[in-house]
Amino acid sequence: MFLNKLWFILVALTAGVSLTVAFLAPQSAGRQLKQAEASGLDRAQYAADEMLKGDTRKWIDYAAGLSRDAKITEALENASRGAGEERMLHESVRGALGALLPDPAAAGIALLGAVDINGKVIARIGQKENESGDSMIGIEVVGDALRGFMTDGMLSDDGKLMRLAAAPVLSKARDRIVGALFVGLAVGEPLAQRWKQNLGVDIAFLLGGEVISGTLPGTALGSLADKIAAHEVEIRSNGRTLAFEVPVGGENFVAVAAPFVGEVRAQGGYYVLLQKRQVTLNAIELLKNVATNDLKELPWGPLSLAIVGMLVIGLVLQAREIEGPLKRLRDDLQRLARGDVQKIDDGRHPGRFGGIARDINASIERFGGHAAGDRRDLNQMLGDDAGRERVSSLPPLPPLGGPSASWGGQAGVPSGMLGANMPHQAGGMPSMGMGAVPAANLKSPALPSLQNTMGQSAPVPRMAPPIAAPPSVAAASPRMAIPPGAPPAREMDDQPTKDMVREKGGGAPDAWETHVREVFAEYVATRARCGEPTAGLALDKFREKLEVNRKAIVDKYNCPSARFTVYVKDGKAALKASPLKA
Amino acid sequence: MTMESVGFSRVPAASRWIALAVGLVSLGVGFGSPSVSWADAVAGRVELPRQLASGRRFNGYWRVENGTVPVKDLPSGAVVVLEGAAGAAPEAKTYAVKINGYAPDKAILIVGPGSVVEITNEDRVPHDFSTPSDTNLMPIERLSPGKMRRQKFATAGIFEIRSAQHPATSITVVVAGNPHVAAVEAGGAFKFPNDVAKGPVKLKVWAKGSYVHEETIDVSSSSKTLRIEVSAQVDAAK
Repeated sequence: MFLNKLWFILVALTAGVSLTVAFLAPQSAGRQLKQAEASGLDRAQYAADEMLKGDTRKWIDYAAGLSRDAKITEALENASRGAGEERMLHESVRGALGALLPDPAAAGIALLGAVDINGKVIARIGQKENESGDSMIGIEVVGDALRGFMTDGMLSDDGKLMRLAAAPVLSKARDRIVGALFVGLAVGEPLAQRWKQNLGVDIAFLLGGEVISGTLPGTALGSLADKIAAHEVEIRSNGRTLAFEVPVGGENFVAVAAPFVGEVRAQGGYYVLLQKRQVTLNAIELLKNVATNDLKELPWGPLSLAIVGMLVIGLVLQAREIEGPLKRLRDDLQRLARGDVQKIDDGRHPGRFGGIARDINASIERFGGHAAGDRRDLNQMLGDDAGRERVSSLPPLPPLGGPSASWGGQAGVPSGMLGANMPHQAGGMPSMGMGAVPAANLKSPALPSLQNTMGQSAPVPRMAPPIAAPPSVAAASPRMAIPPGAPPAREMDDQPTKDMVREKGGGAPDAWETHVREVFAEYVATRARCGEPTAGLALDKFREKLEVNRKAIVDKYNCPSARFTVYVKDGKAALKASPLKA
Repeated sequence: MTMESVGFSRVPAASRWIALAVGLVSLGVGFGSPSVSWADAVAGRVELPRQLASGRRFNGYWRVENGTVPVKDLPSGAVVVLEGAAGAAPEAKTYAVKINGYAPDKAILIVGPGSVVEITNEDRVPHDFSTPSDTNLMPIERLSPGKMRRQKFATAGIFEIRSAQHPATSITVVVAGNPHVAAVEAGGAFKFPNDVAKGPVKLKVWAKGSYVHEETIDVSSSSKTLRIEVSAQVDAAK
């Protein structure tokens, strides 16, 4: 039992730890997942920045390439010198730009233009194609190009974001700057989609606190600008925000925002990378998300081994500490019931089973003491009057103690039952009492030979080995008793035994018949010895009564037969019955 | 932050008493000899970090020289002021600034308190000008092409007037409380227009929207060349 308890405690602890882990692990996993999401977005932002940087360089080089076009160079050189008619220069440069870039939109270019050394627009395509003469000297990218730099920047154009790359246009002699050529690229949904494809996250572009384009509906990102504004300090120190949560259309997203370069930074120009937040993790959510592949990856072998091992250990411990001892106890009880033993050897039974065995033994001892008081005469079962008449004349037989008494305890037939099965005799049948013999009297001397008492050679019936009778059963064990003073049912002749045996036996008697005859002879002899009358005792009636009792005992205890023994009680012959074990 | 000064040094308290005594003696001598000056002209050079040294207000990813002809950079737009120095503030005047090609013709104005700045928009596009650092001073207001807006600056300080559409289109208005304000030229050189009285004074460098450096100098020796190194750990983009 101790190991069983220990095992159950161990199993309970294991289950407790498993449950705790099951509930705690998702929390930790969720936290790590959030960190992973945040770092993933950080990397995505870095990648986006690198893409912007690389892409910008590509367009700067593109502008530098266009700036070497001879027609453009000549036109800008003339314009810078103040030579040539403005309209002609415009048409010339516009034609040259158109020839270089027939379909700006297809190339993703929103604006392509050229300015002279003073920053005055000579021509442009994509936007305001028919206008010229306005100055762009204050546009920093253009101004820088006119000072000799190949550079880029971002600006807002009518509420739209535009990347601008510019390169200086050198004179034919390549000794001075004669103008600049600039390329404008719209920052909108196509770029957002491209980024999403490359980075695997959603994109939003903001300008002036408004979402101007992106891969998510702008209306769903209403609070994004406010969220970014709350991270202004991080942006100043890190160049981007840390990951922050933002609701998007009822769902929770995690986002990282970074300002665009150029003057749009002062206008609230940001690009934001968003990723849908994973569901809040708990044990149930984790189980819901289990996929078939997850099951395949489980270490089924060790897991099964562990489960089977636990089961086996539990069963072994149960068998060892519960089932086994229980079976042993039951076996002992059965042996006790069969009369193989007088009491249970409690030393064979550990722990509480030993306690049960000791309790049973104690009960046997206690109720065995009361058994004598609980005896009932077989005469009462058979009918007091008839029994007295017939048996009282028989001489009392010496007492028969011992083995059958224990069986009387175990297998004794309740008097009421026997009484019902053995109706009163009108005459000739001796009354018999059945009862249990106290445990103290179980070891009785050998039954005297019937030959000695009745002058016959019939063998003395073998008695069952001495066993302890359970007290409750022993108390109910019937016995045969001959009430004193009962009138004989009829007179017996002097040699009743032989006659009776002959009368019944006829041919070779079977074991039962032999037993009946032996008991009858013993009974007659005992009655005679006790000074009781034996006249009127008839073997047939005797047999009949024994048969009835035997059947009752057989039916009740499912035993092959019953044995009857004669003993003396209160100076008179009496009979007791006990089941015959197989 | 590191500072190297030539001819000027931070002065311990004890030395100030000595300086004071020397000053008093000099004062006595001065009464007897008019050739000894009370102040000196102060000039120097400000070394700004790359992000502040550029004439560009808002940088992009790339700024590469063409490799064929020399580049010419704009002045950084930085301003050096001596805070608390003695001297009369510049007179209040009206200054006209024209915006053409998204650029003001005067990027830095050093004015006296009470001065008025008149901004005329000669661009084809409108500009919504304001002073973002103090929107109460100059609330945002649309200046349509060809229109002029007047703005008075009553108190000392440095203010940036900025176009909402094109933040690079900005005018720095330095309302000086004393005459010791100098714009930093290309390359970092500066010179205060007036002689500075001898003695300790706080020097501050303003660049691209905020003060990026300050230190106490002592105009006490015959040398008047300052070298001021501004730390790179400043936020250049505001």
